[in-house]
Amino acid sequence: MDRRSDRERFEELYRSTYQDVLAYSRRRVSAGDADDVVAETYMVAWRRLEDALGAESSVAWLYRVAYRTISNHRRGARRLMALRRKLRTAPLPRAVSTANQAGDRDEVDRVFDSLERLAPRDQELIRLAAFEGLSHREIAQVVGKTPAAVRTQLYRARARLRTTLLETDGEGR
Amino acid sequence: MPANRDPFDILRVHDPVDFTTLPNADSASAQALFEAITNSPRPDRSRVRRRRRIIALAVLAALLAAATWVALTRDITAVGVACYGTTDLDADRVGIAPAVAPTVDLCVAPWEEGPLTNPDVARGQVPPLTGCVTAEGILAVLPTDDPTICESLGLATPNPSQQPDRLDSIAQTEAEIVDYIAGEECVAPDEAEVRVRSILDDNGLKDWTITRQPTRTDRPCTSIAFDTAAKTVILVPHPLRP
Repeated sequence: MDRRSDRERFEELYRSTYQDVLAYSRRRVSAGDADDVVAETYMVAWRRLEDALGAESSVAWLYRVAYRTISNHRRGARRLMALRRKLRTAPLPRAVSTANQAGDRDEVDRVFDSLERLAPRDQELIRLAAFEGLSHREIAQVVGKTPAAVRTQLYRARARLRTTLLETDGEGR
Repeated sequence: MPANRDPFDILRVHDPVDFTTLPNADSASAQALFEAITNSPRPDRSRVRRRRRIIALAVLAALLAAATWVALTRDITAVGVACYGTTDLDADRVGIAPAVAPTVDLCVAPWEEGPLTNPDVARGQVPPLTGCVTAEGILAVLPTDDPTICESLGLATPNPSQQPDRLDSIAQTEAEIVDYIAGEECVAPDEAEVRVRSILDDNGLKDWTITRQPTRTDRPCTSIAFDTAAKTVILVPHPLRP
């Protein structure tokens, strides 16, 4: 039995995951919206602390809450449409430049363009694997699928990313 | 960079977020958020769960009462959601009257939080979920990934054109087109057709068509009308705004 107070247990969770949840949100929405997503995510975690701490992976549990927060905004009722347009049109951060040559930079930009042209579900799977570095099992926890389904869908999403990039390159010529 | 490099591998080494400049949990904003959250009261979980179950049962009763009316309309569009514990239509279920469009995802929480259980599914885990539509118009969400489950239970497979996500996507696309036209002083029909086609394609509505009413010299600009049933955007000549 954990005899620490709720506040102490929450603080440990908060301190160990804050940057990861903030990064997750900033990769998907603008910085201003990301702060809202983080606040809502941790408010849910505070209310459902036992669930958050008892999850197989607490950070994946938090990603799931953030994922649903963003998805609900995007999928929600007509009254949320303005917010969703804002979410869709807000300039998202691109990769931190580690490329030394303009050619590399162009290719990275084209890859991000291709990613943003995929269906939202494909984008999410690819982002969770590429940026959050989650395993299939952890991704399954975030998106509410089985690991086997994630494996298949991620494979297909990566294939679609390659196809879209080739199409983008074709258009650019 | 090699031309055949997998774009996924490129993404893996180009994280859009720079952790060296990202605020951490010691930052002022993070500390303020922590204080605000931990100063709010935590709910009594046992009371919440009990209340949620009571609400779920009440909602299901209301859905069943509404079913008669819905059946008369013979409309197959889902009006509510019933989350089933097994693939048996007599199994325990949780009813949800969604505030937004009914979707399969609404049944994730009842699995995660415990009202729904199944001996083959670990507590708190979410099995693969498949939605079917009952004759009463309720979205029955079953714990399986069997693509034939709807047919085998005598239920309808949701029509993609009536799917909430699809309807939502159409509404969003229409709003985007209206925003475009309203945001310009005067859009010529040729330009409007190209841009509307692009918006439709970007939103996955490639099967929609665009029709143009006959042009008139006194109406050089374009207004928009939608015929959603015919999946058509109509470009209507419009005078220059004063």
